[in-house]
Amino acid sequence: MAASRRPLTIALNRGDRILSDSLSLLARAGIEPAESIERSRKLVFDSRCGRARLVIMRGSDVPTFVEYGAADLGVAGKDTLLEHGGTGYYERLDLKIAPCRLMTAVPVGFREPHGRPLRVATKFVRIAREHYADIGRAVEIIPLSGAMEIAPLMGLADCIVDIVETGTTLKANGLEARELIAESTARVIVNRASLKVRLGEIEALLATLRSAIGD
Amino acid sequence: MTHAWRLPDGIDEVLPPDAWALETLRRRVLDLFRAWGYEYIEPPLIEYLDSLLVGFGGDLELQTFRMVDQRSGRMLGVRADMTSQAARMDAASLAGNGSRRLCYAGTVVHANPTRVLESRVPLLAGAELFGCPGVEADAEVVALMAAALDCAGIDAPVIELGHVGVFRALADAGKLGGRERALFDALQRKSEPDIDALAGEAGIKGATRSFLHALPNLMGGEHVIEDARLLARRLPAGVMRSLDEIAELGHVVRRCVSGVELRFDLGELSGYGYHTGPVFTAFGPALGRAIARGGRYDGLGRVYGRARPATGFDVNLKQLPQPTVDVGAIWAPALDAARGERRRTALAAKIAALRASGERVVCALTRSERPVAECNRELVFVSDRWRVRTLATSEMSSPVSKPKRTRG
Repeated sequence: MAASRRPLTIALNRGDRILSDSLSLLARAGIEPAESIERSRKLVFDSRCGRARLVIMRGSDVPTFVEYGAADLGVAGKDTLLEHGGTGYYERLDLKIAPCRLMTAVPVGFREPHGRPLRVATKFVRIAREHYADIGRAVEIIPLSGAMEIAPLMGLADCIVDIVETGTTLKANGLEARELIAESTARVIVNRASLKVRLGEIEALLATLRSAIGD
Repeated sequence: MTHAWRLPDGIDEVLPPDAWALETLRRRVLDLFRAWGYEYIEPPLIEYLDSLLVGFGGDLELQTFRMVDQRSGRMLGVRADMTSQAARMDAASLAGNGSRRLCYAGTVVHANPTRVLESRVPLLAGAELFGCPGVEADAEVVALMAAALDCAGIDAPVIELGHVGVFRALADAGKLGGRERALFDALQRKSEPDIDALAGEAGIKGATRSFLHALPNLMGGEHVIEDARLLARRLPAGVMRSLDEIAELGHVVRRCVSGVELRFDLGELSGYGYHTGPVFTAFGPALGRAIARGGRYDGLGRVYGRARPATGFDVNLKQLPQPTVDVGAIWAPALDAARGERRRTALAAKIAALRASGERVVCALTRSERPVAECNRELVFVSDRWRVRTLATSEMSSPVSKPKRTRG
């Protein structure tokens, strides 16, 4: 192993649940932030052991940081990875945390429009486009960045493609889930070159994580 | 149009002093290729689209800029890679069946950058070796790739060997249940859950299933080939043949290349579309991506008339660390500023001698002109001779300082 110099940079999804679950798994692999992430407004944290540096960011940015090698590793939902569609990283491990399903949802009692494309509101533009192409349905995608549920209510869209955890938000807004597009859990992704150049170090970390999740 | 001079996305220009550094690197790498006996070729910038794309398995389809040739009405493409051009030149333009070594260095154009931040106009330098089917040829190319990285000052790169035959043998034997493309994608991501799910959907069982499951983890030292051999005993013979070939390549490379860390990755399939045998990739510390890659592509020449064994590599010189070359130029006074015919002649001779020795000498055009920014020394007449001395920083041209100039 070439003498490895800088700590491994790990990009973490800042979402409350996924962040605390990721941190407790990392803690079992001996990587803990030197100060409390919850209580600080900082975004970059050194680890107590000095082997790693944790960077907190929006989930959809994790693949970008890892692809360009700005982070060596990252934790991101499979839904985010499908939407990002990048090829510059490896998906080395399923952490089996943050489970959710990517689904289509429509207003209760919805009837398919005839003679025009289906209008679909979503932040998963790529996934939605591929899903409807697969089933051969003509659609117009309306890209939104949050709270897709209101789009059908306001008449902006016929249906939405979104992640569904329990279905309560859908229900509260008069929507119901229809087709399952993909199941998602959080994955550890690794920059291609980092894995090659720091193979031993990274595989050792992945092995401890793997045993921590009982894989 | 106030912004007409802005460049399109991903198109970069190289400015001084970086441009000389890049050109110096290009020359060094070409000198290296020459010293290894590689003939230089200059493939055309544009060609008929068919001849650029044929044989490349669609890998370059979206990368190639297209336009119409007004003379023939046919589609032209701007080269996005020079390997296919070298293969065409070897098969169609050059005669002889023996081994042939070709090299090139030039800009190619990518219609779609593979990643953001990636230049769409990489400067590729590459070497291709035709006519030799054995691993010795691949080993020579790997050794040359290592030498080129050394020449760019990359310390102890990781060189990784793979073999597309491992996966292709399974596909060709119909063992992948028609899910070759999807499994290939999952393998490129080394995603075990996805590979397992796809294998399940496709009804892949037994030895093939366990081999596919293990493939993303078969990376590291030489032991991975042994691990793979144990798993490959009940698989199509092509898998074992590929493993033998890569093991042998590993031995030969170890014998002839030093100063690199050699690794294997049997799940690495870069260039699967047209590669047919061993593939190799180089990684440097802290660059976050592969810096050079290559592999065997036997038979690509068939579409140009002759199938020939072929192997080669290329490297984007813009991605390598650039050499620091500039020691600064020497500022010479305008010739007519030298008093007397003898001093003038001596000055002209001194300038010519310095230039011949490899120094850069910039001559003032008028008496009042002050040294340009790239000069750090000047020619002065001291004790009856023109001599080079360090230029005081205050004397360099700058809009604020106006020092009084004295000449000895």
